[in-house]
Amino acid sequence: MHYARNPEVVIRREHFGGIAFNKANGTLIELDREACIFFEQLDGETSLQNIGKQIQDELNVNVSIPRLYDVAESLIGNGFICKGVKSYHIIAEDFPEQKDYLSAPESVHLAVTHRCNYHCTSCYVDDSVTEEMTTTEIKNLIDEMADMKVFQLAIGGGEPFLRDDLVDIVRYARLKGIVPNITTNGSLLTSEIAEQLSGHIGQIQISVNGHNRSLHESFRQTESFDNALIVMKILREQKIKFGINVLLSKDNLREIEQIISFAAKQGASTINFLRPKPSKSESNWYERARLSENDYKTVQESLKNVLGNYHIKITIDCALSFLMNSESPDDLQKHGVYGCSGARRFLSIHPDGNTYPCSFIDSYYGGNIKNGLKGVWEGFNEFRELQVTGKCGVCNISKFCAGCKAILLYETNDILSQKQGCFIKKST
Amino acid sequence: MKIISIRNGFECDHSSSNYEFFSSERPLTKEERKAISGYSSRSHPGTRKATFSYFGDYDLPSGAEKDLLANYFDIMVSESYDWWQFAIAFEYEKNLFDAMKKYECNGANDMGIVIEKSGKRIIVHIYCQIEYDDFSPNRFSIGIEEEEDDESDVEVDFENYRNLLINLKREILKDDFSSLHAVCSFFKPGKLDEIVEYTKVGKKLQSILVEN
Repeated sequence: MHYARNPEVVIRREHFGGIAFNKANGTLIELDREACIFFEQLDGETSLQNIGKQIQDELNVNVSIPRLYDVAESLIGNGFICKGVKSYHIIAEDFPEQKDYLSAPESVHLAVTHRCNYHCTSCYVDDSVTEEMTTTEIKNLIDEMADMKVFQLAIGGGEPFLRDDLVDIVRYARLKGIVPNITTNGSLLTSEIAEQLSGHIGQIQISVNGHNRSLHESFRQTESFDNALIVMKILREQKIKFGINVLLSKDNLREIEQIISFAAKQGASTINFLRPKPSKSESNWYERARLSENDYKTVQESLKNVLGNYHIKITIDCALSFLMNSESPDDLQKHGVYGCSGARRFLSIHPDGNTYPCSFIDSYYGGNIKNGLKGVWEGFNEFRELQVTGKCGVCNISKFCAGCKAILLYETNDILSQKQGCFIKKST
Repeated sequence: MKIISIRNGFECDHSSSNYEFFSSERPLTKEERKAISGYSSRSHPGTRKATFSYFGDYDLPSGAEKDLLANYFDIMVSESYDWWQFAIAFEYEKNLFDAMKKYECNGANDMGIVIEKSGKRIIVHIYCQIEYDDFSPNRFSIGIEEEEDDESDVEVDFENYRNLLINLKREILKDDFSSLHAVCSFFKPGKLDEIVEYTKVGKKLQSILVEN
């Protein structure tokens, strides 16, 4: 019986080899060139011997059959390969030329609106942006994303459900082979809308900052906790995967285990902890909420203590990568930790189509998306070339952290600084 | 040729994988328990038993299962996604190994018996699906006291299966392979042509196995 690629997996060639994304479970793997060719050829009909020959022909590298089996078994374990099925045939292009960034984003973060029905003090959104891309313009963007083999569309806001074409956008993305995900406060997501999204949406992220009303609403809209509970029930009933985004602050950092337990009981698939970033709503909020080095140590300790204890996947945003300093660089690489991913792994688009490396940086502008995604993506070189220096530059996990440039810009007005709350003791 | 990185996605797998390893022949030394702890921070091995419980995508490190059976334990019961694995380990003897080999079988969905040599030991694996609740409590007592120092959060009670396997091992060491015959005949009816009377262990194994 021959091996076959899971038909739910898409693969894109990169200069180092390839990236494969499993649309069914969101898992992403990076392969070297030999493994990329091997994976592309797994159509359920071609034998391993013939695949070995293909690798030899294209790369002039001899890979043993036992090694092919080993890699195949690893990929089976991660749901990338099936036995006993057939998969589509891939006509491979040449590997792209060497660059220090991907040929396309893994995901595009699209704020479809900056309008919101909530007025949270912690919000980072610039509500002076009132222009919004039309449905057609967004669909054109999705077409370009499909052409460039972007894997995911992360839809956010503002509150995205304020747009009445959201279901249409989600369904169109799925039709084009892109996994659409939405981040929302949940207050406008009814059973009827959830039913229309079911089967099309990848995952919905709900913003929840605490396991009880008072904690959650300490910097959120009144009644938002009850609304979050209602929407989680709706999503459970509709069997839509959902996760919880927790914005860390002085208020909730000692309640991490209770919040994780709460999220697991609610049936969330993931809980994602976010680092507080400067707020556009209230300038004092960030000053009050930002965490000290000791606070981050507490967060790290709490996360370590609960890891594996709850039926939920725990993640952190890329601005918190330094919390993984106890992992070896090899392990960070194996787990796909990349640190600051702005303009490297994803791209941020404001409602008017203006593009930025991430949602929190507006001082590096990449042009308007209506002029074309490919040109925008290749135009962030100035930002990409920034390398953290000083003590961060010599840190052994610098490559996997790279500092949160949004916070550096706010706190020091120096994107290459090292004062950002990281507790790692540096050697210089 | 290699996989450079794997980043797990949004799927949350609410299933779990549970392992129980047991040493029926002797208590483990302090050094051995320390070595066993090195396989996973999730385990707190006792003098006889170590349990490992994983949720979602996590699992025992590759090769750990075989190492633990080859070096420390002689009994293993594991369950993952309702697929079960029973394993017993013996000191290697060629005659014993050869005598057991004929009971190897591969039934539907790779369920069956696998007999292998690992280090200085023979390991018998039974891959199966079972009727989990079909067990009277403590039916197979084995007379081994175990202390209650295991802090694992394994939710599944493996004690009956473990005791069944200890009795299976004792039978085999007396050159009684009838219970292996019972299992093999379940997965591959007709493979073994001799007619054998099954012991209580063999009958029990046959009764808990489920066809897929």
